[in-house]
Parts: sequence; C-alpha cells; structure tokens
Amino acid sequence: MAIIVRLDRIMADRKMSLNELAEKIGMTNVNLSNLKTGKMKGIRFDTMNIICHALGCQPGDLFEFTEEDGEF
Amino acid sequence: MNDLSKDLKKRTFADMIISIILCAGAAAYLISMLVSFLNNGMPEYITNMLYTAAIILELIMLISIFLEIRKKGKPFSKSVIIKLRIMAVLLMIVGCVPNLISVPKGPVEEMTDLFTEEISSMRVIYFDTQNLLVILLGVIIGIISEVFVYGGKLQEDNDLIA
Repeated sequence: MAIIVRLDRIMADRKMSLNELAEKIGMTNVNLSNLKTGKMKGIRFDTMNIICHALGCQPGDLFEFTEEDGEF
Repeated sequence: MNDLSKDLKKRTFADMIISIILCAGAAAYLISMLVSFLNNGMPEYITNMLYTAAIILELIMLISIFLEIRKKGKPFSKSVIIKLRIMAVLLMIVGCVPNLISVPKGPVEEMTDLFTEEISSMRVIYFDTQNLLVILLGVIIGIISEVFVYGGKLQEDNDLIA
C-alpha cells in the first residue's frame, strides 16, 4: 500500500512507548501494534482524533504517501 | 472487549438457559417414549423418538453456538456457520422421515381378529405437510447460515479497522 503509517516516528519524537500510548488512548497493544506496522486496513476518525490528541500532532503527521508503480 | 460484545454476551445468557431447559425436557420426553415403546411396542413411538432425538441434537448445537458467542463475544465465526449448516441438513433429513402410525381396522377386519385374537390395527406410513414444514425450517436455517457467511466477512473487515 502506498500510504505508510508513521506512528513509530511520532512516538519516538514524543518519547512514548507503545504500551503507554495504548493505555492513554484505550486501545489494546495488539491493535495499536497492528496499526503501527501497517497491518490494519483502515482507521476511524474517532481513533485518529484520540491518537492526535494523545500525541499532540496533526492527522497528516501520522501518514505518508509514497508513489508506487503499477498500483492503479 | 467493546460494549457490543458485552451486551451480546448478556443477551445470549437467557437464550442459552432456555435452550438447556428445553433440551433437558426433550431428553426426559425421549426417555419416557423409550419406556413406553419397550412396554407397548407401538410404532408411533419410533417416529416420536426419532423426532425428539433430532430436537435434542438441534438444541445441543444451539447451546454450543451460544457458548461460543459468549466465549468470543462475536456471533460470526466459521464454527458457528458450520454448526448452523449441520442444523439445517439435520432438519431437512428429519423432515424426509415419514410418520409411522397405527390405524384401527374396520369392522370386517375386527371380526376376523376375534378368531385370531390379535391387536386390531394396521400400520400406515404417511408423509404430510408437517414434514414439509420441517424441511422448510431446514432451508430457512441454511439461508441464515449464508447470511452468517456474509456477516463473517464483514466482521473480518471490521476487525482490520483501528
């Protein structure tokens, strides 16, 4: 997929661990880990809102688009 | 576990208890039928026992479905679909089994029985609308299992959304 989740970078910037963030936003470690590693198919606005609030960032900071040949 | 799962667990508990009570009742009825059959040897008891055994099997399947829903907190899973399909096939097979009843003989036959001193009745096999109704129930459960297949796919998709 051309959209990459940059949650690990933001978490490293904020010096926040996965467990800490999971506890803060009320998500399971497994789900958050899946989101971080790009295994999830999508993200709800609700979840994005909570993550942005917890990390103090913009939705655009969480994702990055890279052009991939032959995808469409 | 989200609120939906908790709510589902709560709701299935009452259904499971009702199913267990019905299953116990059906088992008691089956035993009484067996005792009556051993005492009288009337053919009606055979079909009744077969239908009751099928009801018990259906209820056992239903209880196992409820147990799984309570365990996982989700109604759509492969094993639930398989169990529903087994229930549907079982109902369709049982629906194809004709009834076996004893019909009293007419006056002429009864007169002959006076000499032979046999029980004056004859056994008749018949297939009626009740059988069709049971087959139709099986078909409906089969259709519901297909709805569960679609639900399972939607749930898989939903589980992959954070």
